[in-house]
Amino acid sequence: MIEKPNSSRKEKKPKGDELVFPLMALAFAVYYLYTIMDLSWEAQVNGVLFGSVLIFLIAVFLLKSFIDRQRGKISFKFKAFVFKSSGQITRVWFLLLAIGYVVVIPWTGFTLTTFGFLVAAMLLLGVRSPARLFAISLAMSVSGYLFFITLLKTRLPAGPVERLIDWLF
Amino acid sequence: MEFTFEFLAQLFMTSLGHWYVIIPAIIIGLVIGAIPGLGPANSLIILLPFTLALEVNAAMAFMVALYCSSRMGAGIPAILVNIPGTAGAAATPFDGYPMTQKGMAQQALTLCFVASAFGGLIASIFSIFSLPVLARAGYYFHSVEMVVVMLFGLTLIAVVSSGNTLKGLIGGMFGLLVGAIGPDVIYSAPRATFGFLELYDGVPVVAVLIGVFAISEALLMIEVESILTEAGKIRMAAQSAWAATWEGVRMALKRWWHIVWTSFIGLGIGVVPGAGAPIAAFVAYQQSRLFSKQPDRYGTGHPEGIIAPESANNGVTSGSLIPLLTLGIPGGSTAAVMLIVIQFHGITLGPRIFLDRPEFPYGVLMGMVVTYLFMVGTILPLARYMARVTLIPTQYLAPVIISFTLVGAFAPRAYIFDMGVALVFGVIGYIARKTGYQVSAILIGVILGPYVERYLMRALRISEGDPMVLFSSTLGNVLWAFLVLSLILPPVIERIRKR
Repeated sequence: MIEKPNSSRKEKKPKGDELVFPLMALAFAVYYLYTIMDLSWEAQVNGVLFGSVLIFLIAVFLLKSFIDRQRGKISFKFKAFVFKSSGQITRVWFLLLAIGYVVVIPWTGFTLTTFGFLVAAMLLLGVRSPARLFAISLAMSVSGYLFFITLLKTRLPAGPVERLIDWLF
Repeated sequence: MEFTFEFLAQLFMTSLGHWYVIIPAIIIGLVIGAIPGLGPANSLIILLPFTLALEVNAAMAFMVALYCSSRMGAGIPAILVNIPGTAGAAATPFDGYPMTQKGMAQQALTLCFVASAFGGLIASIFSIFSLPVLARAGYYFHSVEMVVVMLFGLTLIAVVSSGNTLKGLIGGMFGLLVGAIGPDVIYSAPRATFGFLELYDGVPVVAVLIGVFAISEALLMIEVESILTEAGKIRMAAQSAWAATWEGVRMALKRWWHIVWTSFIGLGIGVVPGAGAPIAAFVAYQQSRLFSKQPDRYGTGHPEGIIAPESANNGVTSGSLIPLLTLGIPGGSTAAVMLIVIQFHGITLGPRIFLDRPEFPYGVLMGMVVTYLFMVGTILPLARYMARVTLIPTQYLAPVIISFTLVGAFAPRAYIFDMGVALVFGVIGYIARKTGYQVSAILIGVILGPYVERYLMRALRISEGDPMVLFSSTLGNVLWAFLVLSLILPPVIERIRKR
């Protein structure tokens, strides 16, 4: 936003975003305390101690934010997470691709899923050369196979590629 | 055998003779340290058949070299892409990444390598001369002191890692509570598991590390075309190949005293079982900033902000082996794997080892000295090539980070679920970073959570549930005082400086 040079009114800082994390932490702390309600004191002590300190700190933070808002220093508008720009939509798709990677990998295996994910993600992020897309994705998934599966013996999910290689060698 | 110069020279030559296992171990360690999720303990377990087949001194040289170099390797991604390889390098990106963005990745990497190698070297040489004395330090830390040490560490991290202490403390406390997901230490009753059986063992720390650092960084990274600023690109293009490395060496050597005293912080904290590299790195960073003449430069790419955590976390390596070598108590998972190999070879560790076989514990530390000497020569020439990573456009870098680090989240337990945990914490980390909450405080809270609970329960059981036990020891009370001071002093000093 371009600030007007003659504007005498002081701009309120949008701080609504900063409440997201404490509210999320508060919800978790309440859930944690709820799950330990019927347990023995030994299982409760840690949660009660740190949960109550966390809730206290969040309460102080919220109180401070409300006082600043009342004084006109800040507003509770959101700035960081507003879905206006194309960049935010790309990020959501990127995250969805990552979720897809985790969902699909048990069936398609590490090598094929990594190849597919890299092609799709790079395409999403603006790589348009088919040769680059194919070459980089292939190189990375093959090196991943060699490093993680062959060298480090990581028990990554096996798919058609891993089964074929096992069958061949 | 007497502790003479001849004895030490003989140990040095023997260790030098293990070069054929030390150099490959350094290379493996650097690679596994640089990939989040692949810690030295996992790698040593995979390589157990190899180490068990080796002669015991060569096996120890191999394991120690891999352990030390993985510590150094963890700083590489922390500097280049803002993703620490392990929690011990969580303070390195504070100044390492801003230097990278300015086009000074090569200098930052060189600073990291020199500080790590010399910090580790100084700590291991000091350990050789003070091994029996240092071993006693562990005796003074009981459950009460350990609770305070960990809370003190977490408080320091909250204060250091965020411009806003309240935000830092919220992050740290949230992390402690997340770390308390899973079974309680007495009855193993599951808590806050959201109904997932996979969380009955607790929250997977590696997945959290990968989530809050790597996944969130990849999500942020795609906002820009390159991790370098415009000025950084120009600087990278202008600087000649070796000059930047030498500039980094000069920067580090000019601050030699800084390397020395922060390595001692690492050594001191490393001796205390369970405290470890993350606390050492943050304590050193905080102390370095506190005593600096230019505290405002910290967090903007200040060389001392890289030297302090790197020198300290490498000082921890020799410190953490001291309980193992003197008492036979492994201070961490890597030391536990080492203990397996030592026991396999029929060596019993404990106080009697200094009478029966003194060349063994001193030899292990001498192996560490030789490793750090080799490390300088091996890795310094590589800094210029590693720095090239920063030239890769983010449209290639971000997808590769996501796919390879998710594998790192999977590796320790082989659960697909852990990849999901990494993604969830990726989103949490993204929200935290976007709104000014430092993810380091969350991560260290998650790591310390189970330890704090274990020591707290032990203290409360001994006192039959009396919470005043936490204020019953002199050392504990001194540490409580430091904790309170660490919260009060920074704003007071800040106010005085502003005047």
